[in-house]
Amino acid sequence: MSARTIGVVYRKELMDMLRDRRTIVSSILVPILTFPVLMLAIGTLATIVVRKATRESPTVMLLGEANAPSLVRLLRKDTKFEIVPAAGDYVQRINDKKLRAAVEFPSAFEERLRTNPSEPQTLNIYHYEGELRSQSVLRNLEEAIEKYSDSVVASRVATAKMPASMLTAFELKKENVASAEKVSGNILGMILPYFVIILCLTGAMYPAMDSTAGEKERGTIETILASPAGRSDLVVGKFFLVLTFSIVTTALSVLSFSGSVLIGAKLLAQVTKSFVLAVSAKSAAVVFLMVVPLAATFSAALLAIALVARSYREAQSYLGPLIFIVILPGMAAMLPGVELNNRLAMVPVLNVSLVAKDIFAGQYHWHQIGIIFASTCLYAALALFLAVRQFNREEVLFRT
Amino acid sequence: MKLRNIGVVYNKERTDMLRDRRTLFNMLLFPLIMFPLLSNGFSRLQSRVVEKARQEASQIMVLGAENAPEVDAKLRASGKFDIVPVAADFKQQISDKKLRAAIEFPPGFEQAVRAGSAPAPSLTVYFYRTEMRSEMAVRSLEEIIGKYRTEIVQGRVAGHGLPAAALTPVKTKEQNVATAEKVSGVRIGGIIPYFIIIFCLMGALHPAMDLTAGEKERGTMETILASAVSRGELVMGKFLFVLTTSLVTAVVSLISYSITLKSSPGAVARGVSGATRDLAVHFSLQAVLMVFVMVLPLAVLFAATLVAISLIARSYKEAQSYTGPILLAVIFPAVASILPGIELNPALALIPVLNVSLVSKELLSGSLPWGFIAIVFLSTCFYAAIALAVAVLQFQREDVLFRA
Repeated sequence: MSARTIGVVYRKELMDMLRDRRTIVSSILVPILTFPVLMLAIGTLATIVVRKATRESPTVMLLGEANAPSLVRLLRKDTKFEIVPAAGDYVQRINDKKLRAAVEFPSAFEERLRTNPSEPQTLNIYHYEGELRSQSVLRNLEEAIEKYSDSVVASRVATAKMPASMLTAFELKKENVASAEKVSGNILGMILPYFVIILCLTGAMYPAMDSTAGEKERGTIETILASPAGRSDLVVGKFFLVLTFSIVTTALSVLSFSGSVLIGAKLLAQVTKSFVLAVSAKSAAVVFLMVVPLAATFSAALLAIALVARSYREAQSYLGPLIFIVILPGMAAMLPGVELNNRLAMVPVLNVSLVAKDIFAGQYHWHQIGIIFASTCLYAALALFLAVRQFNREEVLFRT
Repeated sequence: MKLRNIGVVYNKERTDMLRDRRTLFNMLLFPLIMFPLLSNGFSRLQSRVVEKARQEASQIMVLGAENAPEVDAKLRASGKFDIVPVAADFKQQISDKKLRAAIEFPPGFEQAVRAGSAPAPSLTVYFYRTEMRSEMAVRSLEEIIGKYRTEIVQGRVAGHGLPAAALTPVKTKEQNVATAEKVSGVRIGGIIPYFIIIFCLMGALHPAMDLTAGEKERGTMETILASAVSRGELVMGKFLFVLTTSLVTAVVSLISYSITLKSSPGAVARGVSGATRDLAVHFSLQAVLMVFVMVLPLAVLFAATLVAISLIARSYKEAQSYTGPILLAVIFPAVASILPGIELNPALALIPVLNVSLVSKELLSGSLPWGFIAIVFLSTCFYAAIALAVAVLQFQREDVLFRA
């Protein structure tokens, strides 16, 4: 093996790949544009929908208004609802989404509240479970009723000559002690590592298939084998090309993803509270370092597998299911209960996504970072070794 | 155009495709067996992990326990917490996830509470926002503290001769009046049409490329053009075959999806939100069949469009780069149906893909808006007819078939 020959193979593959402008479009441009466009479109749409929903005042029906004149007055004054006249078919109307909710006052509701303080009164609110607008009306109605309930309590307490301040035993304050970076990193750390891992795999897939099965299909594998470059030079050269592609597409996608998250956050900020996104350069750099050996593992493994296929299409059917195998450990890291320990630090894919989650949240377990880096490098070396072995076997290269 | 010739072309394509056993595996076996298996296993794992996290005693620190011996005793007796000795760096420990939360009682807290002095004393809970276990610990803390607060206030009220019930004059009872079908319609009714539409497209993608660009690449295009069948028959045969695989994939995926939902009912919903109610799935067979009727012209539109576009490509690889953006163009409107709040109107009923996914959502939630159903069906048929005409035209053009 010589570095010069490997370099020659690498440059040949790179030139081959870049010559095809369509490849660049589909493997680089499309993934970069996907995120921002998706984000922009969905963000705009969501903003429009939410704006429209908040502008329309939803309809509410009051049943048995005569039983609760003062509460009805309160609800009628509330601009959050539009009260429609009572009708018998309210259940049907709620089902048809023509009416969002209905409140039913039992007979003599307010009178009983006045005369009998030891007996709580029950109000029925009819709603459409799971339907967005019905649920928001339900919440607003409950809020208004709660306010009314508080005023009833206040008047009862006043009649009993008890100071109103005695109703609050103590105040409960909640204080978030995590920094803004940790708060947003915790959310980001759930999603981003998963994306990065999937992107590493899909980024490596196309060049891995093209430079092995594709070469067989085009009938150029014999030519290349006849060249003075040794088999292992060929494999290592091809491997570096696949690795480059995997890392470049991943890096570009992550950049465009961050860009679109910023766009999305701006859009969201118009309808919800501001959303802070803070990632330190250090955490991004450490995560990148952890991902490189993982990308190397993927690249070498994909090369070894794709080489078995006789055609590009056959390679596709071998590699397709691999995505599922990688997605699972990637997703497992999103589960809140799964935390990094020395044993999990040895599980391929899962370890990197778990450690990335911690790193984004601002936690650096250097000891485990070391284990993970070393173990992933070991897996990468094994996969590369396997790929070289495959390239030395005639029955794999010339399968019939 | 002869029906018999179209049949011959169709059969030829079918034999070609079924000969490759791996394609079959990818198209049928994988979604049918692996998908339910994997997602079922995953949701089981998920609910187990979350359940375990919930039952685990959370590590908390009680600062100033001597100021509130009663509350401290309650916290210790609850069994929900593992109370660790006080340390000054508790804030750091919380943000390092070594400690879930800390509660701080100011000096003289319980005395002030008992005396009922104004202003009311305050206690502070320290936590890590967005960290699930920290938020869980805060919830348990609030529950116990809340109970204590209620006891205190009830005691005060009783001292003034009022019954404890006087504090809660009004109770609200939420009553869902929507039918079970309507509830699951709004919950997951948006996802099912999305899946069906995506799978229709995915099912058509591979054969559409293989039957056009793939044929060019293998050099068999000339042979097939030289055969006795006409160009129109050739397109129709190929198109019908692509349509078949598209529909088969969609049906198979739908079946596997329902198996998944049935075999792990609500496991995911329970695990994540901690909701006790199961995510019930109620769809009538009639609604699902109606959805398929609506999807049928859409599948025709997909198959014809993909055939027309892939024919331009000279190789399978080139075809892939042309059809990639189409995937995006379809995912967009399909996703829109999942967003809550978008409701069907006459203008939206004319937008391809989006109209089908919105009307399917309505159908699955048990309503039958016949006017919209007609508009959506007819407009999609119209688009499909245009796409098919374009595909036939493409096959007549030499510069497309033999692009250099």
